[in-house]
Amino acid sequence: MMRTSLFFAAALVLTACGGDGSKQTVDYSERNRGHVFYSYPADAQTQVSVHAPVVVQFSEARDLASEDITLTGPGGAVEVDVSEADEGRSVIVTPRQALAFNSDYTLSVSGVSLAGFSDGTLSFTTASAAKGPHTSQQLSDELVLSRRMPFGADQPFMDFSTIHLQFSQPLDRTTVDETTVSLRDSGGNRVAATLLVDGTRLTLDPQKDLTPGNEYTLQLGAALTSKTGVAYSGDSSIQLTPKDSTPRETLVLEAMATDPTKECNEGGVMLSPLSGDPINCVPLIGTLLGDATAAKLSGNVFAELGFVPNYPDAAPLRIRKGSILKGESLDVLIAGNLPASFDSGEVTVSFLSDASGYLSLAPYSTVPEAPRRVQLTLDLALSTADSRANGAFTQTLLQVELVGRAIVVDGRMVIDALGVVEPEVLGLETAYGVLSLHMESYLDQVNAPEPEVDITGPGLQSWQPGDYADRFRPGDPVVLNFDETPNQDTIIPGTTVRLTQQGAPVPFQWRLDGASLVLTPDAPLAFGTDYQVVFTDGVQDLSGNPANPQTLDFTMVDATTTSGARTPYTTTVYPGFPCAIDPGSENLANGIQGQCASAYQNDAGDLLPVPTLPANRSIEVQFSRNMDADSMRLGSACGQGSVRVEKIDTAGNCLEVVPGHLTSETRKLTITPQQPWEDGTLYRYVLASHERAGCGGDVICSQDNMPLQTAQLLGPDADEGGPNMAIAFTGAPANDNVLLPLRNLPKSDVNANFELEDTELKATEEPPGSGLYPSPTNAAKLAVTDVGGLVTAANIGCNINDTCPADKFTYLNGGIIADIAGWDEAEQALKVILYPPVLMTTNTSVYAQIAGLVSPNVPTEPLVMRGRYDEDSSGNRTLPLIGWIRYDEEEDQLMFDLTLDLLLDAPEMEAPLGLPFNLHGYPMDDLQLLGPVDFLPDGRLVISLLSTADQNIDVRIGGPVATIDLQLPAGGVNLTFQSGSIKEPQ
Amino acid sequence: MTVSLSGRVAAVVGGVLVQSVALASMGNIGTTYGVLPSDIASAQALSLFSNQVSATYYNPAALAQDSRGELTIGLMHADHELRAQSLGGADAPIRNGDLLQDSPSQQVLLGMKTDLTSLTQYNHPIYFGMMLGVEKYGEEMLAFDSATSQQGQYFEYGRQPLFLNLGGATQLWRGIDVGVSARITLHAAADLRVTSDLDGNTQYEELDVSAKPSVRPTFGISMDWGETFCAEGDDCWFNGLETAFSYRGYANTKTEVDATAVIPGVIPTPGLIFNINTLDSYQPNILAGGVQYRSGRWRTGVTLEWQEWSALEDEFSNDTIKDQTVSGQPGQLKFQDVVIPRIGTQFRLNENFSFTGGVAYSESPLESNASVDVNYLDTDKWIIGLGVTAEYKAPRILAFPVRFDLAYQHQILEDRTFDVYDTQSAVYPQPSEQVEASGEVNVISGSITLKF
Repeated sequence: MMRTSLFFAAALVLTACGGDGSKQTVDYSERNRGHVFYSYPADAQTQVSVHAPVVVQFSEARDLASEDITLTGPGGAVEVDVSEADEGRSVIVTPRQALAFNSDYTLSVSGVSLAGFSDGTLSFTTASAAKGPHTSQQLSDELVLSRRMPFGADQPFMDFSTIHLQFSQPLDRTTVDETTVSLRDSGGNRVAATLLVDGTRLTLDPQKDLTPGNEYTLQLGAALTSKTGVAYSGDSSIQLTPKDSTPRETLVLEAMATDPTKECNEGGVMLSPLSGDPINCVPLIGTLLGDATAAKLSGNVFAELGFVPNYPDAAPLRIRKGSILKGESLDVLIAGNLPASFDSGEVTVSFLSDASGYLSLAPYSTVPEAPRRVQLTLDLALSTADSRANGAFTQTLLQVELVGRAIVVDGRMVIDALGVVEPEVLGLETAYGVLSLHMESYLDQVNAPEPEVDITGPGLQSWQPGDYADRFRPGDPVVLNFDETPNQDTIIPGTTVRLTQQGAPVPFQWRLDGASLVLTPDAPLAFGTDYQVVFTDGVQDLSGNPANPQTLDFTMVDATTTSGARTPYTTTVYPGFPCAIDPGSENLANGIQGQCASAYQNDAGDLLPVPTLPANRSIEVQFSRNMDADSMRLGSACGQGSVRVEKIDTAGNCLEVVPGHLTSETRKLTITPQQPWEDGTLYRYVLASHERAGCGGDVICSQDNMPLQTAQLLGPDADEGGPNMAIAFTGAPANDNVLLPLRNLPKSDVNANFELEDTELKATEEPPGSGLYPSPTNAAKLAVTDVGGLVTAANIGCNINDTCPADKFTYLNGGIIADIAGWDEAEQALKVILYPPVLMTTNTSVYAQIAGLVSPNVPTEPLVMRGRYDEDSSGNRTLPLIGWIRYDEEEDQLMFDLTLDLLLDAPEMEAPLGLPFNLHGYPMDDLQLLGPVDFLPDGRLVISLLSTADQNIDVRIGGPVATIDLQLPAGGVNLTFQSGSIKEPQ
Repeated sequence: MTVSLSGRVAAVVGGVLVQSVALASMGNIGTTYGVLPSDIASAQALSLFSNQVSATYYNPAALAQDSRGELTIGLMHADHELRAQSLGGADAPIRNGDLLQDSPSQQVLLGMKTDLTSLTQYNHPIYFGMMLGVEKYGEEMLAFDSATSQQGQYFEYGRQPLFLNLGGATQLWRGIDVGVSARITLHAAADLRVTSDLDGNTQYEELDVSAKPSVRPTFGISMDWGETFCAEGDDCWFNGLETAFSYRGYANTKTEVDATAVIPGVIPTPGLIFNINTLDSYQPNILAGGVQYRSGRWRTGVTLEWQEWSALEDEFSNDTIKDQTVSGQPGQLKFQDVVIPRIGTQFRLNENFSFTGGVAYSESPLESNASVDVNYLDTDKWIIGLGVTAEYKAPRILAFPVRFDLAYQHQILEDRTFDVYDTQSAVYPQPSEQVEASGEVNVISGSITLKF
């Protein structure tokens, strides 16, 4: 028995030890390498900003060289810079130039197939342009829906979803209302919803959650049109059945500042693992701001999650309308270097609609470590505490798309996301910035912070015209800048917001742009009329707090014409010089536009060059008076229409008409081509008129039926038009300069008839009793310094022995086109290219005593002061002017300096006895101008220039027979230019 | 804290380097190896005719063959060398070594049989038997494992669930015995309610675990042709001829887990519900028929066993862990019914010692060569058993004989190629790898049986 037991035990031990194999280990590390965890843009994403970086985040660091990465667009490989973040896991590809609009791009990595991507490459399509040629603004010739969100299985339509629509062409916002865009329930009843529109984007946010399972219909009517008048021809009704998101839970996330104390651009701040940029900073990059401006955001985000177990593949979430992120005050630096002498105050980012998004499965990898994808579409409003900054920056940013990743780390849901914002700066330039959002959920959600309760309503911060009615012109919109973003649904024209003229309602269109309420009267406001703007406490903010109601009065400046109206003329044209050309002087083959047509052609002055027009710009013309929009018709064949844009040969023959779109405002005309201007191709635009009174046919006319005057040097009668103004130009590549059309405001000659009416303001003693009469804005002081020949004495404004210090001024009409080229390191200044302006003066009385006998008044009649191009290396005047904006540290003031060469003409002046005189193409070179650059409370830019040296005008009548030496004394020339309304009319 | 760092850590911990092997086990010790050493030694060929207490499982009618009571205590150790050799593939992992699964099954066995004839007034023979097998030498009453596997897992081998059979038998007529037994398995259920943050810190917990028995029947009938048809003392050719038939109803061990997690800020009430319903072991319906002939010192038997594995597909369709294997394409799991022939013999050397041997060929019930994400491996196998029995009729202390059994069984798993389908692989729905399954199993078992 013992032996048996031993045998059993031995056998047991032997068996237990048995086996000659080695335990297998299975190594999946290679399989788990090389995965792509994240990309921006998402693969196959559309409407991607042309300024977007391309980011690919791998599961581990990849040793990639720049040459391994190729970003290919319509023009082939794109020049890029490659950097890394997140210890080499993120590869950031930054194009050196903005990408092309409406174009397909692919990012490929040499030797690496990006698993999970279509064709092993990251593909995306860029967005349409907000400005510029129509082909860059639109996706097709038809107006149809190009994109709808939510859409598809990975974006289920929820009961709390906001509907985001994108169209193939920019929409005419005046056609967007509840009759053209609506959501209706199964009974056909309209669902109350907020409609937001900007460009090609439209957001419909139901005011209440939809009923899950019920059928809804999104209706789009054919009355919906694009900016170019194309009617909507896509699906007229789209069936939507929302899914149930309940029960919901609110996840409280903290979007922390990149650093508690440091600024965004300082070292040592927290960086995004995706982009390597500071987190929660909104950099604003552009010509006007340079690249050193960034807003540091922070705050709590309350993300409402749909019931996640019901949506395992794509959990819906929303951030409620009215949510707010706060940003610290930032210094406004022009071109990134010049202090504007004010800061922005606290920056507020408000959610205008329920932000919709999804937490989706990792898109490119199935490994468990791959983070989920976060997609969010936000409708935002920016506003700032400082009124000037608010006026300049406040705006609505529709459908900002964030693409991110979410993963739980140490018990917190960590979300990193990238998106590009493209805000307008001063209404002039579209800046851009890559937002590197970083949020972490609070560990203890039960005791997480509650949303801050907003108990203050919107208050008026600044308004246009405000205290500057003398700078306000018909066609300009009334703009109310609030200190927080109003709820669009509470703006009810005629009820909560009214515009009246002595109690009578003035019909208007309106829109909200950020915290700005823009009111555009249906008819231009009338000179000399009192208006009232009223907003009641029915206007509320996004939290429902009522506004502090106000009644705002303003009076349009008086433009009574007692001495007869004058034909309208072009105060500025772009491109080119605002005068009709003498046909005989044209030499397009050699780049010569020709001379302005003149009654004294031999003294017509410089040969004007053929200017260039960058491919991304439009033709822009400003007028001196209210224009008849119906008289401006874009020709569709050579020689047709009052406005023509043609491709020509060097002999000036029309080759073909350039298709485009004409936009006319009260005092402005814009022609936007269908296609970008071709580099090196010769074009011509024509503003048609005729050399007689009255309108009819292809003639551009004012609202009071006076034809366009195009050739002041011909000395026309006041009611006569001029020859066609044909300006040739050459197409050029697009550039990033900022075009800044400036108007000379305020000015005395309001009615632009070149006479100072009794109702128009003239110089005043300042301060009273001082005996000093400083030059009013846009005026030039004339003084007589010497006389000779038969002239024994002379006086300006009154008879020889009279004293009239207030009458020694001539008042200037005109404008100037500035082209902001950016920071110049050598000059340490902002370089501003200026295209030579034309200034028209009012008539001035000059009393000249002839041989001590008689003292006739020799009125100058309107003088024409033509800016001259600068000389090129060949001595030809072909170069635009250069001005500089510098920072005067002592005065803490931005200053503008410019040297202007002028040609002075007195085309309508008649010398005594009909003697000839020398004021035809009289050169006035080296007019030194210097003055401050300021911002009005509503953000508009004002440049106030004063002459810094005496400028002599030696008048010779009949040669030496009679001489009068005039002078524009130092400080006597006041040229005050102002940018247009930051907010465009409707 | 960085995501990337934790990502790396998670990658390492989560399986970049080594992935643990799931220990699934379809079957039980009775079908896979044999309950007692005598069953292991004969490769179950003589189990239908065994009068030991393991008859409660194989053929309860056999309990009636010996009127003495019996207490059996034993140990069984099954050592597995189950291999998976990579044949490469589009996304094959790196396998070092070839031994995919080597965890042993170690059972402590306890059986008891008693005569309950005096329980009734009729003096009709009635016998009761009970057989118990507990994993890890008794330390693991409720071993449970059910999992998907990226690298493959063997279908049949691994830790075994609690083995419990209770049965009885009686003589129906001269030489004809019938028996019935109940196979008792546990169906476990767990309910968990918890509130947790994203870091896994729980509060407001509620846990409720229960295990209820599931009773499945086994019927058996034995016929001793000599005793039935031949008069006592006749030299009848039927003498020594026995036949037996048994039906073992399907049985399974399964577990149902209902867990509800509320995560404030993410998932509100009713919470994230985990509903897991899975089989750990499964015994199909088995019909077994056998014939045994005794002649002199020899006793030889043949058994044919039909196992209805095809029904497991339906079972798996309700299994929340393995459901994709029977509904998914590609890599759909299919089972087939199998017939297993077993032949065994016993030679009585003298009044103390006898030797038993047996061989069987078991076709794999796995018809398909792939099962997405579960990746079951199984092969056809040869089963060879050998055993020795020592019986002492007059031990010093005990009143009745005592018997020692020692058995060894060797199973040879034939080579078979499988496609591994892994939905986490970048190449899915293509197979990520092809593996060749093979292996061997060594079983040693010993028992001591006290008669009373």
